[in-house]
Amino acid sequence: MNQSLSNLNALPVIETVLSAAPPTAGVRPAIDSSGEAEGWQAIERQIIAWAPASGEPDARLDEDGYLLPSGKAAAAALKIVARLREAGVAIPLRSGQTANGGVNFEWRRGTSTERLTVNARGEAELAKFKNSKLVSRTSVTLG
Amino acid sequence: MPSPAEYEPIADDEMLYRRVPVSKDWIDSHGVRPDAFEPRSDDDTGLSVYRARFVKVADAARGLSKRGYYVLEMRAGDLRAAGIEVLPMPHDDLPGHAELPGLAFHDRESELSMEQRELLADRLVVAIHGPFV
Repeated sequence: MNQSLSNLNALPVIETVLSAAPPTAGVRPAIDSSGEAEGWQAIERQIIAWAPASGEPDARLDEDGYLLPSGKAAAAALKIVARLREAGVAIPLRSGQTANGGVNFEWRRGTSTERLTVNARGEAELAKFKNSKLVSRTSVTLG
Repeated sequence: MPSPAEYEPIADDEMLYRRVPVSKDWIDSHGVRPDAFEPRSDDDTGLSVYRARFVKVADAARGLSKRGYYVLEMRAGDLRAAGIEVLPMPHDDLPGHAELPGLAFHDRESELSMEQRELLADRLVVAIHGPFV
């Protein structure tokens, strides 16, 4: 069953999922619906496409002067995707690039928003908003 | 050289434009993502917007991106009511340049900056124009 990130109780779940040790080799991932699996795979492909290619510098600007996702950000984001998918977490409503070399994921329900951002240094933070007001922000350490 | 009128205070009923590259996918079927208001390293004194009384929306959309731009429209008084300051900051490139000083690059990871970006994206955009290619 997918773990929704759309209510107050979801915050400890995502922190727990990401800070726990990764599953050992050979452990089967959580059973997932095909739609969810495809959704996570599409996000993975997108992150890989954003990452710098071999030989490219890590800090790259687009034509408008925005920093493209760094290698560290892409690597951490892929690790997060793998953890959340294995834990059966629902795919985010949105995932995308930040303006400064990072990647983020967003879940919403009603007036609540949860945004997990990986910055260019590969550091992750979970921010929660209610009615567009910041309720909490928590650094997330990948176990 | 900017005209003297560009230095005049921004009235509450003035409309403001913010250019957003199509290539970033910050505008989607769910609306505007807060990343559209995240300052870049050259936004050292604030985030750039343009005053509609000085520039046409299509001119505010001009840039180098091959995929073009959206232009977000906001009302100055709405921003102020939400606690977001906007100040005239004329320069030579395009008439009507102004800035949101609460969204300067050096302060982008502060709670205030995060909350202002969320408010702008969720509540304060009154129209999305474009894309202009």
